[in-house]
Amino acid sequence: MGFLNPLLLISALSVGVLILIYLSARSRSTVEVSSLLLFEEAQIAVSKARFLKLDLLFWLETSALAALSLGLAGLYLKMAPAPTGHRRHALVFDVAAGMGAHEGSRTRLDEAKAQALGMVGSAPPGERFAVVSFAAQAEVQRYFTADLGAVRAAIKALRPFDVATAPAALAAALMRVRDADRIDLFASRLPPGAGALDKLDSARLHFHRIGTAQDNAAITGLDPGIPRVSPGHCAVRNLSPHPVLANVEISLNGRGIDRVAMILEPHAQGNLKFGPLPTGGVVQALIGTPDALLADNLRYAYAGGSRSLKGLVISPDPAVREDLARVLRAVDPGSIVVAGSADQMTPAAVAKALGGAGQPDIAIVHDSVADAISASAKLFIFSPPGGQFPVKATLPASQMDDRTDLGPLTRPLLLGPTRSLSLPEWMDPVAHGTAPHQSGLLTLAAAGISAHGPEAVIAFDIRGHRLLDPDMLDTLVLTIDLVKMLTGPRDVHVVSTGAYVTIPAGAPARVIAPDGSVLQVAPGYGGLIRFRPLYAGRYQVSIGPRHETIYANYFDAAESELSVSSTAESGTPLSQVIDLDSGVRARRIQPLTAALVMLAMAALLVESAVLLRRALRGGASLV
Amino acid sequence: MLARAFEPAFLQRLDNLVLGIKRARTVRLGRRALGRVQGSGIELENFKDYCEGDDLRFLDWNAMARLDTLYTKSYRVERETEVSILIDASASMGLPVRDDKFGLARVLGATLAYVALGENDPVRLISFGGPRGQLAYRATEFLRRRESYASFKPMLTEIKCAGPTEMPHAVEQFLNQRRPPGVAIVISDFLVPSSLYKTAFSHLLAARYEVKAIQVLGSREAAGSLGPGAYRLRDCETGELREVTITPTVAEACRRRLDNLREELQLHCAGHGITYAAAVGAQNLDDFIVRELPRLGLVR
Repeated sequence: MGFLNPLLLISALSVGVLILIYLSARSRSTVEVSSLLLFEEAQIAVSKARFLKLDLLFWLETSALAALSLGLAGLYLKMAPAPTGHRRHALVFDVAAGMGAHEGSRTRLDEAKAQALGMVGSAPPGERFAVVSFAAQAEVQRYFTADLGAVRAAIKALRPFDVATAPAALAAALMRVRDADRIDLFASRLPPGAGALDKLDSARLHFHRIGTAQDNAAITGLDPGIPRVSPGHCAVRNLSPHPVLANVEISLNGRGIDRVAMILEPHAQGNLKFGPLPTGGVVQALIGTPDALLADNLRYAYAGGSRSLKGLVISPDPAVREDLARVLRAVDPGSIVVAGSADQMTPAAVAKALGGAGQPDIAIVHDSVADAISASAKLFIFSPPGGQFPVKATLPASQMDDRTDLGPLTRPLLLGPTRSLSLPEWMDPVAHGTAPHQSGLLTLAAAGISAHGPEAVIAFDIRGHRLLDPDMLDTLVLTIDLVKMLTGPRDVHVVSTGAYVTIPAGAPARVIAPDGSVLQVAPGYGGLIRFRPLYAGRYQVSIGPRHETIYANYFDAAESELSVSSTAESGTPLSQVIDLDSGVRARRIQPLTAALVMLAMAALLVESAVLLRRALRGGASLV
Repeated sequence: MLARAFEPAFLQRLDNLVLGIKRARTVRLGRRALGRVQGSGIELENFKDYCEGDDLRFLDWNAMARLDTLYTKSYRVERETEVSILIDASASMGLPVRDDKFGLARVLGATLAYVALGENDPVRLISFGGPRGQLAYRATEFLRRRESYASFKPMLTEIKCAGPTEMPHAVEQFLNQRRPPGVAIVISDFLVPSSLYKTAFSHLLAARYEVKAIQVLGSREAAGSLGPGAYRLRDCETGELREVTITPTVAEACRRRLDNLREELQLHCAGHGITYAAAVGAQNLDDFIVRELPRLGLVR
């Protein structure tokens, strides 16, 4: 027995108020009469003033008030699980990367599946099961069904993805099975967002922590450097409480170029320097030492080729032109950059400035309209009205909050003038933010592939050397990332697992995943193929005779932390509510609110009947 | 309510009424004797043999000439009868407030005064009441004509209810004025111990007054004005407190108690030649004056 809202027990004070009312009613009012002679002969019932006469009406009203107070406070009973076999039983699996960690010959998900299959096997006849998985998003594998064969098949078909658990995914998964009488959650840790569960859900929820403490090392970053110019770097982190030996292998286009054995202190990070690379291409870093989680032992990066980048910068502001030229030189120190205002940069003038070497690899257009300029890729910055994108509003300031590929910024970045743009559907947001007096998210950067080639847009202004301001480093990083994305090879994509990849196709594509599975993807709006790599590794996309390669990297610090002894969530109230003992079936919560309200109504009805009876006996004045 | 007593239409209905007085209006004049006083009226009343000491002016000389016998004549003298109307102004007359017993009593007093003035009898109004130990006895002058009826209005307007019912003391003060005995009309609720009004009546009767008692009660008082519930009752005259719980049974007992009190007063009046009338409820004023008073012989 307990209360869902104990604070509302304060409404029980109304019983005290009732007693005061009764005391007040029982107190005798002094009435002046013409003569007490009139009251002499009667057998007067004299009672003491201030005496609380606890009659039937008092008890009925007290019962009604007490029942309502208890109902408000959410009185409930813990009852034994219903013996009936027609319960709705939900099996919810975390299929994020952490559940793919190996423990011996099995993964954690295998252990979870074994436990779940045991539950299914011992279920009473008629019990209905649902199987739901969640990682980056929730997915119903099998809705409530009494077909245990189908349930077992759905459980066995579960596979871990190389993505982190999204906080909203758990809530979405529980929402799908909100009608369940019992929910069994299998996860290697309390998923993010579990603390937001309300008590009723937590009471039905039975958390099964899967797995034991495991050592793990992960490649957290890979910078290929600039071929023949600057060395590359590979960051390796030990996520376990023990020292770890990591053999790190660096290869370029499948050919090994470096191999280093690193001993990492507990929770320490090592930096491996390699190169400079002799040429551009796909760089792969691999931890050869086996550990529990393999997905974060592999990472890819793309190093630009030896051909010099030809860039065009158009801006009405000479300072901005200079800053953007520096950015292009930073991306490729051997790049050729032509800069000028929009009226100076005619196609002929550009071609002449580039020495007749064809169109530029990238055109960066700042606060200008330059439709006549053609380039392999375009980056529009602070696009003006009448330019490439319709302008909804020009805002005096904005704030960058997160990057879709990197997550929330360490701290929000205050930006200058910003233009709210209507972006075409083929563009995917890259950075979001907010602005004063603007509701909802504001897209501050976006990128995509149009019919003319890759294009990207930055909505805020970069005047006043904002790109080079040390306090606004995120704007420089964003710009460099967009330039790299726009100037990178078309047939090679290096992305994070869980991020969407957009490829112009026009015909169905055949995708071969890292594990060898094949997927057919049909083109959607604008003839684009969009899909989400969920496994770390190399995806091969075949669109007719054309072939493209996608390299998916995975790393998430929380998900790769395989130490069960982590106490990150142990202090949350949820741990007190969720039954952590998977071997004991928790008792069923039965709220008594409806019964208490009915009891109060019955008491009030009886009181009305008593009053009516007294009225009929003693006259209307008695009511 | 008092205003009704001075409305012309109301007074017009009283013009034909005469106060019912049993006592003969004649007195013997010219001799210190008890009983009737032989007077110099014009209406011959009786003959009697001459006795020594009789006034020779009343000898019937014609009879002596015819019969050679001495007779003296007595005449019916038109003698005025003083009418005193005593109105109880104790605190109990003010309760229940909504019944306006005191207003009814004042209107009845004024009505009877108006009727008595119709015979040119000297009439006065007397009120008695006031705080404990301080009897407020207030009397008007004797008025003899209806034209002066309006002179009662200031007194009737100014008197207020207060204090206990000191009826014996008021009668004692009234009799101390040593006026010729006449008619004394006592208007009260008589919600006092019976010994009080019995003492007062005995004094009046001993002084050869013709006594008439009019009991004024409120309709709510008679029916029991208190609804069911617990009360602390305070007697408005004595200040005595009593805690009671009114139930339908108790309310019925109270009504019976009031009936008993009325019956006791009525029996006492009947046994002592006192005319008794009960006016219950101010709303019954017209009916009481036009029907009840004549039926009881209080007016004719």
